[in-house]
Amino acid sequence: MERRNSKTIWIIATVVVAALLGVIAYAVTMNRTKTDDTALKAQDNSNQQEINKPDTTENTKAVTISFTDQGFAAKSYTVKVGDEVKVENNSSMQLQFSSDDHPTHTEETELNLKVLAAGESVSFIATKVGTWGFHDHLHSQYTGELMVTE
Amino acid sequence: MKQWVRNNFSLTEWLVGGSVTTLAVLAWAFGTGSSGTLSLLKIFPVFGLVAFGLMWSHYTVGTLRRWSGYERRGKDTYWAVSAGLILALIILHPVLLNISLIEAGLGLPTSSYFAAYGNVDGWFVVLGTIALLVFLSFELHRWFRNRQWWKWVEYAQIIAMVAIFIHGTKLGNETTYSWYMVVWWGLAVTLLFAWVYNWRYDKAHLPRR
Repeated sequence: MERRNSKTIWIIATVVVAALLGVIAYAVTMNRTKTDDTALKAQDNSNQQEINKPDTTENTKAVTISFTDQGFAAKSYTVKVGDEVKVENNSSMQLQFSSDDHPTHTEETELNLKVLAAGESVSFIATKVGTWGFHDHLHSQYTGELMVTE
Repeated sequence: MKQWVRNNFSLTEWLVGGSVTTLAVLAWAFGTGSSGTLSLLKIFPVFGLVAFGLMWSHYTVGTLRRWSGYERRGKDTYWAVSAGLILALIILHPVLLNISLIEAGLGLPTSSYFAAYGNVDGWFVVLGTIALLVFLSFELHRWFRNRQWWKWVEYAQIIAMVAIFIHGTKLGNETTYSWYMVVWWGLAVTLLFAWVYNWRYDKAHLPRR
């Protein structure tokens, strides 16, 4: 009887593990496709910020993402390719504006900015079309998304 | 109430485990799981939340059994299913995280933990890893549970539960910044009560090991 029970337990456990491994395999495949180009670019993107400095002579629009002590002022922001995105730290804490996912920041590395002290701001130009999640790496509960359109 | 639990003990087990699992999944679905594209880094936290809830249910269901005076006859399907699920979840939780960190070029643990989470929070990931190893040691009960020293492995599980609670409180968003925080701390308080109750009951009713 005990042997039979043990067998049942192992069958159940095997089914559960197999199902979960299936989910992982699917998710890994999904993840790999998405991060194909960016998998090895997890480090801070501050050099790129220099290259992508807003060109004030062009006819670009600007959107400001404000960060306060309660998090980002809006959940979603929309810009067009070539528009300037300004991130303002209006909170009393430090802000490390980062692309999703936490903590690897590989979704869109253009969004990985340097650490901003209270009152500081930084700008970059949106160059890739898509919907990019972002968060504060230092307080990852604060999130939002940036929609970059054609 | 006591009689109802005794007469419907199997149902009680499933209700306790099912409720705690549902709450964890809902907290994740409306929190981490709801923002942006689903990825391994967004999926792995729910495995940890559910695993902690199911481990909690093992202790609290044990308390309900002692309190109601229920005597088990035959196999315990809830224990079998939830134990298998816990084992799968506590392995998958760090595996998914590590796959993501490796894919992002952050290397292998434990240095990848510090690279991703920083010098302070990295230690809380390491704490979770140590707790995982302690939980896995419980699987040796099939061979060693009758040994005199086995009680120390059981005590270590309690310390590991405390470690996982600290790990989850420090690193989890659902456990700190959503309505689930109330559930999370409720689990901690009831778990503490269950440990004390079970210890006192066993001391009074079981022969010394």
